[in-house]
Amino acid sequence: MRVAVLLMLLIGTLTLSMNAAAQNQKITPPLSGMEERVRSSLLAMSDYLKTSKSYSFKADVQYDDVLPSGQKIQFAASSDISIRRPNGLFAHQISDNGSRRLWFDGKQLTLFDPGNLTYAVDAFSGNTDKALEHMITILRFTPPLADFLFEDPFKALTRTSKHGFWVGTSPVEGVTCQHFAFVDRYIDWQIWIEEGKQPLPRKLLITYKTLPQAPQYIAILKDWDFTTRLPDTLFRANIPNDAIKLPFLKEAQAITKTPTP
Amino acid sequence: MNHPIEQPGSPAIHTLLVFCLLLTGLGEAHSHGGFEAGGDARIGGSDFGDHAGGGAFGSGGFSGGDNQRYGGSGSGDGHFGGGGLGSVRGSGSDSGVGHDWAERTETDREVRNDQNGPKDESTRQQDLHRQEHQNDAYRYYNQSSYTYYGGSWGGFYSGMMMGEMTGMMLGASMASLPRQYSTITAGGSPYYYSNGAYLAQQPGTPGYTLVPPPPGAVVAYLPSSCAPVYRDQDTFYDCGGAFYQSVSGGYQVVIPPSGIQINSLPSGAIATPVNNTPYFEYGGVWYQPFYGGSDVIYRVVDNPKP
Repeated sequence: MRVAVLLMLLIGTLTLSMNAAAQNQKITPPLSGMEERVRSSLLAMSDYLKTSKSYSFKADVQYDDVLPSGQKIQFAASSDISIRRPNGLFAHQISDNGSRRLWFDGKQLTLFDPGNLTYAVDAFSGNTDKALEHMITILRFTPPLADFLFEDPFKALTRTSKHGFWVGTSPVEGVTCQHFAFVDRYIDWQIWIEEGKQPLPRKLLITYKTLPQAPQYIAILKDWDFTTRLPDTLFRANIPNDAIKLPFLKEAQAITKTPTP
Repeated sequence: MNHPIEQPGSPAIHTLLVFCLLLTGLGEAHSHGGFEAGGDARIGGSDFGDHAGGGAFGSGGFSGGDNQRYGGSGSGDGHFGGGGLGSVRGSGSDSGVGHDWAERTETDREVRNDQNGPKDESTRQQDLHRQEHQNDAYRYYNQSSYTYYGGSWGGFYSGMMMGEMTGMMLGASMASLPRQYSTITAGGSPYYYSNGAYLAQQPGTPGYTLVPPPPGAVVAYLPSSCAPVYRDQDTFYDCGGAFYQSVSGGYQVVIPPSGIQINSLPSGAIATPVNNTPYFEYGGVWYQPFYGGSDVIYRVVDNPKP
């Protein structure tokens, strides 16, 4: 009996201490901002990409799908991306769910589904940054790994990031990298940046924490190529004659209250 | 300054307080969980897949069939990512994932408050899943002929489990009514409704004939295979190309207004290009395919024929 009472008291005291600790923690301001080390590493990576006007890279991607039961299914994709500033962009992605090709040549954007032979074209003039923004906000899709296609990847990545910190050192495909983690509003994301003179992004992981089961997207970035000359033809749409052209449903149309027939 | 509860008067009170705290804690945890599940769950929706929310450069409305695999509502049902799949920038607050979520919040609430009673997140996902996968097998352009043929058991009643009527086609007749049915009236004519299917007595035909859902008919329960679709503030239910709206006393068969967007066509929809523009037609409803994000979606339009 005495033991029981003592135990009860002990538990009580512990609970109260924990409660007090929780109270104290609440007073502590929420973590925010970015450690200097994180900031400088991310900037170094960004600046490294910025110095090159033309480059291409590949990515091996794994991403989760969530079944209605909550069960996660992992899919795979491979991306092949080329950019030539000011206005050339090509992306090709083959995934377990089909494939897409995207071309931008400074004058028009073309999205093509080779499996179903359907495509859409949007006349758009501007540089690659403007085209990327146009795709994200008006055409409502995001080319994979678009963050590394913007002229200022640092800005694209940290636009809405609330907090970033250094996790540690970790090899990615045999390359020693610095591993950083960030908290964003709708996602959490992690990046692995190569250590040394060539601070390339080697891995990107996004956790969609606001989605049920918090599915993840994981990309291993490889075959970075800053030297091969990228020809004009790479950025010009190449669509088979028998493909069916469909209109893009743009953001402005999507929110139209009474659509015109 | 010390917190008041850290100064209990005696060990007995201390212990009592602990118990109270524990109990209160339990109670709070319980009600909190319930509240979250009901009211605050944020979705994803197929919005990584839904209209814009799409995932990868992947699955496509036109595709389905062989290409379309699961495609639930996670980050990946494949497409390029209207929802920002594979991009931090694309997942930001004023576009991409956040953008889509914000848009859907209202309609989510609506669904939860409708006559089906409160829906938890898994139910919602199932809705979206259904929408995504309805008539999966049929929802692609047949590449060789550019025709969209449904199976023999197609259209409004595809995929339904209708007991005695399983296997029947539109226009088929049966000698007697199913064991369970209700009699309803639409447009002045009587119909017999049984688990999503409508039967009517037609002149010159003995027995009861399976007919398309008659607009105006009100039924107590939705058929078993329906997906909610949203337009402005309205929620419709797409049941294999038959559209219902919630009314007092049940659900009413309606002619879908132009502007409704769906992820997959009813089976049996026929590709009917007009002036070289692709359209599909089914049951008098016209659908126009668009790229909504990196996936094809279908929008109900007015009859485009001159």
